[in-house]
Amino acid sequence: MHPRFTFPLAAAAVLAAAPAVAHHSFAAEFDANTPIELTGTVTKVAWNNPHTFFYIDVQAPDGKVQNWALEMGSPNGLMRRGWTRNSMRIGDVVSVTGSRAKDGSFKGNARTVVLSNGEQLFAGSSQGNAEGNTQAD
Amino acid sequence: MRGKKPRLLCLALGLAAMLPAFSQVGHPVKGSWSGYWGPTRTNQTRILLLLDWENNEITGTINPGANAVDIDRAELDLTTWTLTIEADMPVKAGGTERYVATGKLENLGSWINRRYSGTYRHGRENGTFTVTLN
Repeated sequence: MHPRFTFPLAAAAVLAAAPAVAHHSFAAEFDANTPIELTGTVTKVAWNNPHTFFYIDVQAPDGKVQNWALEMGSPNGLMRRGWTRNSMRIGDVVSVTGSRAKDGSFKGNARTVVLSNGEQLFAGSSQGNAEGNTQAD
Repeated sequence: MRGKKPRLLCLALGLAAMLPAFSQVGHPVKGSWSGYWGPTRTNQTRILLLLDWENNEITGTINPGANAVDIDRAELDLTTWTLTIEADMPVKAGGTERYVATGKLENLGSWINRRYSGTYRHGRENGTFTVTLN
């Protein structure tokens, strides 16, 4: 191949690989020593790779509403754990356990989710070592 | 002919990388919207709005879930991007009162700051509302 095509090809390859950067280790972003237990109303569900996110409105003790972003495993990994695209709908009230983000923002890594019908599902957490959560997907 | 194949390959890769930019995301109002509404700045209530575009009509629900209220009329003026939604909404005293909200859709090109804000009337109560696309 002519050398002048090397750079455009390399640039295209780097651009195509950009989404992979979104995949990160648990420890890079979350603190296992800061557990969270939240109950709130689902406002958004994003079935994205490499991590599915859902967002819930949680009422704080002072009455203010906090919108939490909660990370789960990949859509494929969640399907293997019994999730379907209809498991969680906007407006459902769900309970979540997991770990909070290190930066103290309203963001967390979900470990288990209790759905509005009472069913408990593992969230494919990248933290590992819990049943059904062996590793990130 | 020399060098034509790599050139085509570069072009194809470049176009492939651009594909997400052309992704269709549906009607501008489609999605879940969160925000507040209330008669005064200090008396605000959280609201969740779920809007969809089906069969050339805007449909939706106010506060989906256990206390969901179906939107029974929605009209979008495309010249001004003014959206009016109407529903029979419960009142604290019991029963329902007509809820009519009219507002403008703004920042339509934005995924993170698309806004719908305006005024509402709920029975005798008037106020303002602002919701952003989740």
